[in-house]
Amino acid sequence: MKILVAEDEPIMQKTIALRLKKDGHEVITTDNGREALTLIFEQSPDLIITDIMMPYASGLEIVGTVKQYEKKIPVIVLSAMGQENVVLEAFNLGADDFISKPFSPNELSMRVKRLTAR
Amino acid sequence: MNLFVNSIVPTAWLLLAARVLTLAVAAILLFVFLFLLQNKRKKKRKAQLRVLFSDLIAEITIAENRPELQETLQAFASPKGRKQLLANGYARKILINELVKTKENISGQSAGNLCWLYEELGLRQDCFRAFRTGKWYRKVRAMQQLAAMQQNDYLVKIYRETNNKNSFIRTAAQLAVVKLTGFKGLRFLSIVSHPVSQWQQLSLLSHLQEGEVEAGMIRLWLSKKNESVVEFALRLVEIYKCHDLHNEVVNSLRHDSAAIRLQALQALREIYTDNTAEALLQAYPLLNRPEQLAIVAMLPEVGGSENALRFLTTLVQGEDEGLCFHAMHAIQQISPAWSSQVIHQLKTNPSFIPILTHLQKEAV
Repeated sequence: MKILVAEDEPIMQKTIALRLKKDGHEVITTDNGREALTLIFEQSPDLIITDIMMPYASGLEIVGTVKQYEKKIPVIVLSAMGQENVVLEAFNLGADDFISKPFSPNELSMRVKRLTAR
Repeated sequence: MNLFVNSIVPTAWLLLAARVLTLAVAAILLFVFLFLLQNKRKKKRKAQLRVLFSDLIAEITIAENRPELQETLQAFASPKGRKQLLANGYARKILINELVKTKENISGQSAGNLCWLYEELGLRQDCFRAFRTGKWYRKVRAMQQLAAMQQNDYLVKIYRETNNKNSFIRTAAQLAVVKLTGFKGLRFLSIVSHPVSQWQQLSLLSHLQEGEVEAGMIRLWLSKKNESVVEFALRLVEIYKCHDLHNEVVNSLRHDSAAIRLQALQALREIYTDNTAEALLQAYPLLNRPEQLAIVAMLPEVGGSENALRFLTTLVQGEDEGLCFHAMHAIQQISPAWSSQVIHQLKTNPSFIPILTHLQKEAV
């Protein structure tokens, strides 16, 4: 399964990518929202994991754009603690799941499994 | 002109001055160039180290057991020069920063893995050395790092700083002990003599978890001389709804500090009993106007007895139009029947007519 990870914090990006690779997924990474949007249309990932706060285009913009054109691609949103309103907005835009920081990579792995099993 | 200048300053001197000036400018330019070069090298080195350590941290984070952790660390340290790198003070500082930053975003077993790496490389000793220095900013940073990495061994030493005269050290220490031990960490409130700022109070609250609050400790803090401690204790009562402390909160309505009295009213809104309305009515004459208005607004919430209705009626008949309006509003909320009676009695009173019109407009 091909997963796009959009996260601007390098260590978090590497950690998530390593965890998903360990689970046998193919992982594409980017550290900004604009590139993420390009990669979504060029690479057609099966699942997207995106942080909310990112340079050039936010996670919300990514969710909105993806759900407008490719409704079937599941999106998991990563948010900081206390961003309930943003998470609700992401769900309104069509996000499939969210995980708030601090989070356990194992938990993220489980959520990915659950979404891909659908 | 030249002759005139030459007659005052000899040409040789002018030449010498020009040479000195040129040399000075050249020296300054050289210094700036070297400074920028060094800065660039430093930045490059820092970026390289961050990339190197981010690989290590990411792998450590996802390791599933102790042998895997050790294997990952050994694999990282095995290339030539890595052991010296891990012993280098500057590199260790970068590694600590990266570890702490990552720990803020990671929880569960992975967070434990990060703490393991921190301890395994002896990085906590580095933080503790910084903690013992006289420089306040190093001390503050060290406390933040030790708390982030859950280093409970240093709790006693950090606790000693919770009443430090330097506000930066004091607030960092207070936050650190709460991060390390939760509600128990708040015991510094029993000894702190400096004010706990509003911002600090909110920061402390953000690190507390429900279920660990001890009413006995809050009772003790409610009797402290430090007004900010009493205010914070009342805030705890309000947030964690400590019903056992109702009487102590009522007593706080007679405190000299207006901020404490207002906070006590807010706390009572959350923990009211059948006796609260009566206690508010007794305290009413002793309070200032904003507090009196707050009481009038609270009465419908905390249960308006007939006594409260009678009291509110006297306010409606009073001269203060603001109070009169709020009292009438409260009566309407408590008992529409009583409200009709009051309106019937006062509708001919010219000063009551604007209030009545306002209430009717509001109802529409």
